[in-house]
Amino acid sequence: MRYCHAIRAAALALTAVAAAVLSPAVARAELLPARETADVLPRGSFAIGVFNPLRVGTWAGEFEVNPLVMLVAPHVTLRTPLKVAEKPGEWRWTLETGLSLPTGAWRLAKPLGLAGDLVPSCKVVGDDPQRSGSCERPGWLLAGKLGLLISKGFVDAAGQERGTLTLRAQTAGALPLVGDAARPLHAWAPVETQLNPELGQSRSQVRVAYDHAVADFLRLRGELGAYLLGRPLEDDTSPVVASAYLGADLRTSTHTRLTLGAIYWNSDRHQREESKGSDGYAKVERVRSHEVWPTVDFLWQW
Amino acid sequence: MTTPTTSPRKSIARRAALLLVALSLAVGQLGCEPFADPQDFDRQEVLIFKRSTLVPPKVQPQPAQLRVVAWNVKYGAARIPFWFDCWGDRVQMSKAEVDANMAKLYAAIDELNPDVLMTEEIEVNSRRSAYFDMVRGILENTDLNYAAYYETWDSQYVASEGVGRINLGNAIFSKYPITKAERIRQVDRTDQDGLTAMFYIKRAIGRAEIEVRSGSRVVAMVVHTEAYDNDGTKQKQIKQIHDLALKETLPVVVGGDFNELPPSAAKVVGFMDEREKAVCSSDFVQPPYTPAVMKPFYDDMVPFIDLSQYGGSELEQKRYYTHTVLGPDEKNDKGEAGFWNRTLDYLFVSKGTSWVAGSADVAQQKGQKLGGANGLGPVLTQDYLRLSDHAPVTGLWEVK
Repeated sequence: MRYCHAIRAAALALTAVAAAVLSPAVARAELLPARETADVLPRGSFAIGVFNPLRVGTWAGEFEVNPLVMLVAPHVTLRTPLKVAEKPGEWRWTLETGLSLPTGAWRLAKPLGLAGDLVPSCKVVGDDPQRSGSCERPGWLLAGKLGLLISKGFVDAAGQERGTLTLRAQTAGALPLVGDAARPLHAWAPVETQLNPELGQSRSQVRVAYDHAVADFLRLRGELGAYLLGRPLEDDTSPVVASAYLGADLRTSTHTRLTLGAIYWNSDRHQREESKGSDGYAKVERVRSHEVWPTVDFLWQW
Repeated sequence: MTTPTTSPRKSIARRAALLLVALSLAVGQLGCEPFADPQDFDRQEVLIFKRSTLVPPKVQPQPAQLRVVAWNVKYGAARIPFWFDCWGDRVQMSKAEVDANMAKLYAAIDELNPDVLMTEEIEVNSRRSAYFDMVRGILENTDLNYAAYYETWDSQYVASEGVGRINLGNAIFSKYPITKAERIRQVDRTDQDGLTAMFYIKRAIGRAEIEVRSGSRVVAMVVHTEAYDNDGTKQKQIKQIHDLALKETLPVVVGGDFNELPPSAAKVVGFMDEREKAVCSSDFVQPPYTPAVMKPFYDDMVPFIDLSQYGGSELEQKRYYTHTVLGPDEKNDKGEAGFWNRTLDYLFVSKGTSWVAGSADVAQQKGQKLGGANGLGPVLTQDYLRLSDHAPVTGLWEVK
């Protein structure tokens, strides 16, 4: 129950921050553009967030990397426009492809990697190689993804694109190179969903988002997602995951915005509930897990 | 005087803020499984589990004689070297491994044939033990009819080493009906940071009232005290167990893993299963034992093995050792294969009740006759050294 109170407190705190920054002083006449659509950054433009990756607009499309992760887990995502809108409100289509070599992050200890957190550190083997049979480190693999982003704009009386509907379909998988695939983490849903391909499994997803400018400095966004996670044969965890996001983007200066929101996840994490049955004895049932996480970031684009 | 008006932009901002509050609160209601159960209770009734088909137990004579077993079953890991043992790096088992290990535990329980079984380190829904429900498993695969499970560690996800979801505890099983079961909170360690403490095991005493005949009840208490504290937590927990046992008005048996040596232990440091140099986390270094804290149990209750039987030398005491981190198929830094090397597990009953002569023993290995050469037996056929890092302790408890 403390968890619930903490979430509510965090939600209130975020809202207070939102209210504080909702000042006419930061308003601009031009609408704040929607995020995470089929639109790619114009050539020569950059965008980065405290948590969001670096995106760079080039002649070939938009490249995305996370500079902090790049050293230990080289990766890149490329978004290639297939159909560009000639005027506001038109359909646009973008192809998304990506490749990563994540194993370094699984094998290096903090602060560079995650060994010892989420996956084993295998400290004993480090000092006593005779015990190597007991080490369950993830093997080397190449993870790839392929997806499509489709957006459609909705134009207001002034001819501005006020609403944007975006469909994202993507599938990601892994090609094992050396060593064993790791077992699924069964971690918190956002972690599990994000990292499943990087552990040698797969993930397919369909997400639908609607992003609406309620003022020139403020956008509200809602998104529904459905995911199918690949699982090893012996794993009886349900592969289906669902999410729902609600949030707002607030312009804080010409080149910056604050994003605030909350995302709900529904997944099978082996949660069980005990209750007293009609015979007076314990009854156990497996239930799906509900998680709510606040989201926040500060983004720069220029 | 003019009436103040609100600009359209401010109005939008206010409405947006209100909408965000409403949506955040609505969404926030949904996620209510705690990251880790704080186990915020002093004394709490727990649910009782029942076998799907009851196996009729024998009718108890007067005085009643109950075969009691206490066993730390190491969450069905048998001799798989887990990372905190410092002799390997395993963090989880496959379902096939757990199935195989549990089948051996069932066979051993059948052989020991307890009327009352007290288990420590039993799991019902942990990633490391393939989410195996060991309470249900023992109920459905032995002659035990009822169980009370006392959860002591319930975390959604322990990120350290990728341990994942944990639901570990102690349990009391009985052939006879458990009429009341409750868990009693023990003190927590004070030598950990807040985050570690939040996800760490919370020790509790499991108490069950068992009706052995109509209108005739006994109390069983299962315990598992702290292993790695450096702040006197274990000593406080042991004293609490002693004090609670003495307050019982019904005949009581206390059993479990005390993580402490007997008061007359001949060897108190330098065990053969300890690493000569640290190779894993300092969190799992054995702090010095304090055998004197066990003395009140020997003074005020009836031990399953009294100190005169236990003997004064290592050679005599070895017969009653109950624990080794290192299994018989592994060797220590000096090349010695693992074998039981200290006593940490006990059974004590209230004064006025007794152990039947030749019945009490430590089930150490295959071929051993329980109770010694002149004991009541049986001769063991199961390989107890390979079933857990603790040996079962047992005796026939006579209750007038």
